[in-house]
Formats: sequence, C-alpha cells, structure tokens
Amino acid sequence: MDLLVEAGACKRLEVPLVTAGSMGDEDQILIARYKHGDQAAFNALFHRHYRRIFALCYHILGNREDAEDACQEAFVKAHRALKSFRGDSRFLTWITRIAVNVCRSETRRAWRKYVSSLDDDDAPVPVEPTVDVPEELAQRAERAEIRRIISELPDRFRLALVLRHFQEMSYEEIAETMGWSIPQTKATIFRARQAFKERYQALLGQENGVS
Amino acid sequence: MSACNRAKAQMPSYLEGDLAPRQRAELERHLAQCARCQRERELLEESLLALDSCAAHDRSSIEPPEGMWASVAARLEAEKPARPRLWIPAIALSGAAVAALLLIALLTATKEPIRIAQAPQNPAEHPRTKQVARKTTQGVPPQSRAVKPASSPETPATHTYRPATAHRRAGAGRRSTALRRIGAFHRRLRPKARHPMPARLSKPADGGTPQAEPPAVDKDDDAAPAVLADVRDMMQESGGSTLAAAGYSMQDLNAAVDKTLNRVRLAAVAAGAMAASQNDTSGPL
Repeated sequence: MDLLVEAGACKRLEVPLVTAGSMGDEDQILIARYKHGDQAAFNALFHRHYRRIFALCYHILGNREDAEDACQEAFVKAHRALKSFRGDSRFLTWITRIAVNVCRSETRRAWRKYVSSLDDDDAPVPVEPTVDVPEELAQRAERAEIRRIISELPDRFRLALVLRHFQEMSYEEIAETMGWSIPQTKATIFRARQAFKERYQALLGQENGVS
Repeated sequence: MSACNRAKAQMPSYLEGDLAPRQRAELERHLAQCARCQRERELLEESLLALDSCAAHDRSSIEPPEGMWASVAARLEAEKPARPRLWIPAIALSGAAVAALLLIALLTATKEPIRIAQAPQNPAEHPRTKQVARKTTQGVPPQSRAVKPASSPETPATHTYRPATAHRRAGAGRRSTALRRIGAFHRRLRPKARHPMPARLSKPADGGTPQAEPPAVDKDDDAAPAVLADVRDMMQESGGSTLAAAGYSMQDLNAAVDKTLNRVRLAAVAAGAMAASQNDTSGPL
C-alpha cells in the first residue's frame, strides 16, 4: 500500500513523512509525544494510519458507512487506551487489532450490504450469454462476485484473507493481531484460501456452463 | 504423508515463494509427474490471482470519506471534559438541595407563627411542656396526673413540628414583652443579689481617702414588680398546669415573688442610704 499519510497534514503538524522502514519508529516518537501532553501527536498518528484502517474496516464490514463508523470507533478507543500502550507491539498492529475487534462486534449483515452497495460501479452486471460484455464490465462483475464469496466465508477465513491479501500483512503481523500462533495463522490462511478457491471455481464452472 | 498430500500442503508457500529451494525442487518434480496436483496448482493460482487483483483494485480505489478527522476530533473533544463534567451536576445538585432546604426553612419560619397564633394558647399542648409532663408524671399514680388538661374537641390531636423560633414568637404581644422584661430583670438582678453592697473603692483625684462607690441604681428595677406580675398572670392563665408539671404550686410562685421583691426593695434601700451618706460627706467643707 502506498504511503498513508497526507503530506499536507504532516507538514502542518511538522511530522516527518512516513516511510515503510521508519513507520514503527515514527509511531513510537509520536506516542511518546502524546504521552507527554502533545495532543497534536495523536492527530499525526491518525493521519498516518487512517486510510489503512478504513480500508480494513471496509473490507471486513463491506460498506462505507459501517466502515467509517468502525474506523472512528477504533481511533477513539485507541485514544482512550494510548496512554497505557506499552509498545510491546507496533502501533499499526495494535490499532489494527482494535479495528478488527470493533468490526467483529458487527454482524455479517454489513457484508451483505457490501455485496449489494459496495462501489456502485462494481455492482454485479447481468450478463447476457449471447452478447459480448466489455472487459471493464466483466472485471467489475468478477470483483463483485469475489467480494460476495468472501462475505460468505466463515469469520476466521474472511479475516485471514482480508488481513493477508487486502491488508498485505505478514504471517507474524496477522498472528499478533489475531492472537494466533504462527502455525495456526498459516493453517487458517491455507484453509481460507482453499475455501475461497472452491467457491470461486464453482462460480467459474457455473459461468462456463451457462456460456 | 503421500506425495500428493505433501504437495497440497506446500502449495500456498510455493505460490508465495516462501518454500525452501530443496523443497521447491521436490514439489516441482512432483507437479511435473502428477496431472491432478498440477491442475490443483493452476486452480489455486487462478483463485489467488483473482483475489489479489480484487484487493489491489480496492486498495487503490477505496478512499476514506472527507473530514473523517473532524468527526474523530469532535468525539475526542466530547469525551475530554466528560470527567470534569461529572462534578458539575454534583455541585448543581448540592446547590439545589441547599437552596431547597433554605427555602423550606424560610417558608416554615414565616408560616408557623401564623398557625401557632391561631392554635389554642394552651401550654399543655406545647411539645416541650408535654415532654416535661411525661418526665414528671413517670411513676406518679394516675389520679395525680389530673393536672394534665384533657384535650378539648377543638384542640387538634396531632402536633406538627414547630421550630424554636416559632415558639418564641408564639406569645407575640404581651407574652413576649413579659419574657423580654424578665430576661432584662434577671440580668440586672443577679449580680446585685450576690453583691448588694459592693466594696469597690475609688481613689479620688486629689489623693484623698478612697471612698466606697455607691451601687449603681438601676432605673429598670422599678419594672421588677410589673415583670413579676406578668409572670404571675401568665401562670394563672395557664391554669397553673405549667407549674404543676414542674412540681410547683401557685403558693410557691407567690412566695418566690415576695422574696424577690423584698430583695429588690432591700437593694434599693441600701443604694439610697449609700447615696445619702455620700452626699453628706462630699458636701462643702
């Protein structure tokens, strides 16, 4: 994922731009500043990570409204607990865990909305077998189906796929975020991929059968 | 574990490039020989490519809503004064409670005299009098308690709380005047009764022999008989029940009044005699 910080915001707050390597260190500096009473430091932390957290909530919950609420809730909770944050894990892992827990409290109804309302331009397109479908529309329909498949997976598999493929987190980060062991994380991701593959291939089989 | 099962387990790591070189080589050899595992690899690779394609599209296209920080900041700002605000209702409630108590006390103090003035002027109904009566009649045969007045039909059976200030105001008019006069009288009478002839000596300015000062003649002493008469009248109005409740009779009161009046008279005579003798000695020589 690209850098997640608004350059303007960081300039305004005199926070150095984030690079992948310096992300943890910069977060630690900002947390230390916040603990010493610098309220603007939390503003900087928010702007460094809110895009990523919003995307995470978006992929877990499946619609923008719920994702926005969950993202806000995650940062508000983080703000409440930041003074007691000991820094045993990275801030990004910590805020991701908070966001996952917030999203978990939601029901799967959010994902149902995701399928129908996510990206109006990605809504499933009814395909007429005899008519050539433009490539863009075909890709849009395929993305909508992939999201629908994800929405129908068990929670553990859905979270594993979102964290691994959509958030591009490592096994170690996923394990730390979810409280799993590394072998458990690998096994869960493996089974999640298998479950997705079976559903996706079934979908392709239906399409091939129709056409 | 069979070669196919081992290949299936290693497939995700293989596709992600995380497999060790030796294991990778073994798996590729197996895939080249096993069409089923090769097909499995193709399907999994195709699925993960679709998944990653979708994820990449979403990562680049998903934008958080504008003004999100403003919403978060507003919530944080709303939470910040939450703790201090807890004190505000507490202070407000305390203030309201104090104000309510003051208001009740004020209303009670202003209304009670009216109610008491309308109540029957029977001292036996005075709560404090009743307390004394209960104390003094303990252990007394029932027939001797006849002094206690029977409640008349007009007298309410229940007693409402009346503050002390209301009781003091209850005998507005003559009674309160009498009480004030009694107080003033006692304040003046007490030291004179103990020292009717004070032996205070004053040294004259010219260095002569110190002379005993005559006791100050209190002009209000003339009011003593009137005060005592008031007291006697009050006791008679009450039918002697207050005295009886305290274990006294009207005769006791009369005797006490007579003795007090005698003391006053003696004090006045002594003061007059002292003044007369001083006038005689301080005359023109």
